[in-house]
Amino acid sequence: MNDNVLTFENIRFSYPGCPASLKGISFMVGRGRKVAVVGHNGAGKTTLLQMCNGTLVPDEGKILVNNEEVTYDRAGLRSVRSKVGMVFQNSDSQIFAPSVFADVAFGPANLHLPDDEIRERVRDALFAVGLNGYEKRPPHHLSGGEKKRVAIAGILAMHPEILVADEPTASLDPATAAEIMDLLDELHEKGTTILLSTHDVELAYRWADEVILLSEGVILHEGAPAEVFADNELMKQARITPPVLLDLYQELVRRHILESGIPPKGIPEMTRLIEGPGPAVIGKIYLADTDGMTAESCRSLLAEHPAWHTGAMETKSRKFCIQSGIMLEYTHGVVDKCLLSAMNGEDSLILTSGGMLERVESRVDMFAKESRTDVKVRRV
Amino acid sequence: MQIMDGFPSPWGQIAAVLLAACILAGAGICIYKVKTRKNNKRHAAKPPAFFDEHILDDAAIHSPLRKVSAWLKLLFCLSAIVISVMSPLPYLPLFIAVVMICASLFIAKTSPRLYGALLTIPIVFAVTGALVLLFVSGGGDTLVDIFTIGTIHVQITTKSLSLAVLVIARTFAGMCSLYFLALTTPMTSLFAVLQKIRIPQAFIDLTMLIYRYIFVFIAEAISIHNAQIMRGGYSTWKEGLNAFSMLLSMLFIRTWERGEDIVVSMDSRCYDGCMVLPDEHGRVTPLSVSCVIVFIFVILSLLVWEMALL
Repeated sequence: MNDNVLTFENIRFSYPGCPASLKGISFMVGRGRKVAVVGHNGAGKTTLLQMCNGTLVPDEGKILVNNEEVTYDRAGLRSVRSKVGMVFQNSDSQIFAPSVFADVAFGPANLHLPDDEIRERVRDALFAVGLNGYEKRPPHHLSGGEKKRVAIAGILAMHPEILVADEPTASLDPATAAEIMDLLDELHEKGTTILLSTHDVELAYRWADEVILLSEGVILHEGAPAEVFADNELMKQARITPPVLLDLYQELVRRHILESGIPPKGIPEMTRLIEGPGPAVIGKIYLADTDGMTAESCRSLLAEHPAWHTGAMETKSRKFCIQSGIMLEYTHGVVDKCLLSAMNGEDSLILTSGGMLERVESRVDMFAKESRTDVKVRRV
Repeated sequence: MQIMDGFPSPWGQIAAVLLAACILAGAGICIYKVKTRKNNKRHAAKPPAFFDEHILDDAAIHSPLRKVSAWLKLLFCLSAIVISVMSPLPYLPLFIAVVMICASLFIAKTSPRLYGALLTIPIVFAVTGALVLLFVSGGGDTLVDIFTIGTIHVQITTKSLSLAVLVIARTFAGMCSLYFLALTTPMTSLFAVLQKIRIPQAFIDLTMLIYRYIFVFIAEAISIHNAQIMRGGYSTWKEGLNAFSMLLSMLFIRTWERGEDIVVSMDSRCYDGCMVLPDEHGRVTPLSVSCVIVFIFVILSLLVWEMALL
């Protein structure tokens, strides 16, 4: 038995009276993967995503969720929709209840859960997206980023196995978009498979494990981000510009400034490549678990080491820092920033909690292995 | 409802007219202040962006009385409205109006500017209605005879005057009570009340959706309107008519599309006929309950006193 959460088998679809939107789509999403569907406007991304939870019925082909074929009767749709959570591009059409509580509770209530469990799920979901205390707000009193968080919380409260998000960062400012992506990372860390569509190549390149390149209703390529985006012919065919980092890397390779090899995944790798032989002094990255800390212990730790750069990851830890009045230097792309500081011989401290601790360690280990730099992570 | 007979004495009449005039003048001053407030920045005159689409909702949500039980506020306002409509003389409605204004301004801490601006709307209606009554209805002694065409006498009589004053007073009291409710109770806390008084669930669900989407559509209408103004819509009367019809048809289409989106969104979350009500539990303190009871007792006894005066 394979462990695919979602399988598309030769899906064809056309809207009534229109040319075909999807022309034979087949792909598989493994459990616990982060997959990005990338394509230009009108490539069929939204149509494809709406098939995942049975909103649109394919003309041909079949869709399997957890290796079971989706059936389009009432019971079948209910079971699919409780497994596949869908976050729409426009939060205003997703949030339809008059208050945040009522909206997040909508899904669990329609799953006919007992009242206590509904309350608990709403509390947990709002906590996960960092909006606890917003229960009574009406949606028109929320900012765009907060609306997106409420929309995600509404889906989380149903405990889906797969989260499908249509353009989650569209029409958000870069800082808010980065926060939403961090949030998706946290959810992924907790075991949710994530499938999102985007035309933001930078985002797809940095974030995804796997990229599905879609153009005119056909999958042009499916594979690792570096492999998809480095193929200029493919990019031209899909009417997509390659990520800036990759473009720069290829240009530098063409001029023999860099040797060709594994394309850099992020700014630290790129910096490392340009820098050449390893730096003499390498800083350390300290990792602190905010779950076991009080505001005082955290402040005294920082007072002991005034030279440390500080950054926080995860909604909970970020809130902890704000509440205990700790000034943070890095709030987005924290690991990358700390790696850069380490290569510059400076020490830094990352405040985070839960599963994100291991995530930081694995990211740093991967970086150390790939770029042969001896960066160490130490838990405090 | 039958309107009771005139005043017991000319003094009462004069006092009532003076009181009404004072309140109207007060409201007028408020409006004047709104219209002529100083522009600190020396930029080109810009239209006052005082009313936006959320102003009432904002005021209710930030009100210090928000957490007070919606039942208590409803009881307070509904009893005031019913009793002021029952009152045969304008004194009681004016008393209620003064209490409500004080409650809104000092307890609910509404900004006087907002309150004055809100009151202009009903005052305009009440005054036009009362003017018609003043000239058209008859009975009693003639005070001012304006003209007569055939059988139609346009004149002010004692009865028409008292009727006009009574109508203004009742409207005023009713509006002040309603504004107190609107300015302290967000819609979200009324849904639970609607459910408790056995309004069918379907209506409550609809009300919740309507409440949510009113703001979405107002925002949409404003953005369409802005887009039209930017490109010279509404420059002439004819152009304006054309642009306005386009706005309405666009809004209709958007409403339709939004409706379809909601259905998809509800289905994606396994909609099975269940809408959750906002989770709001009001606070009932002994002080607030006793205040409401005392108020109702006072206005009831004033009502009885007025009835006895006639």
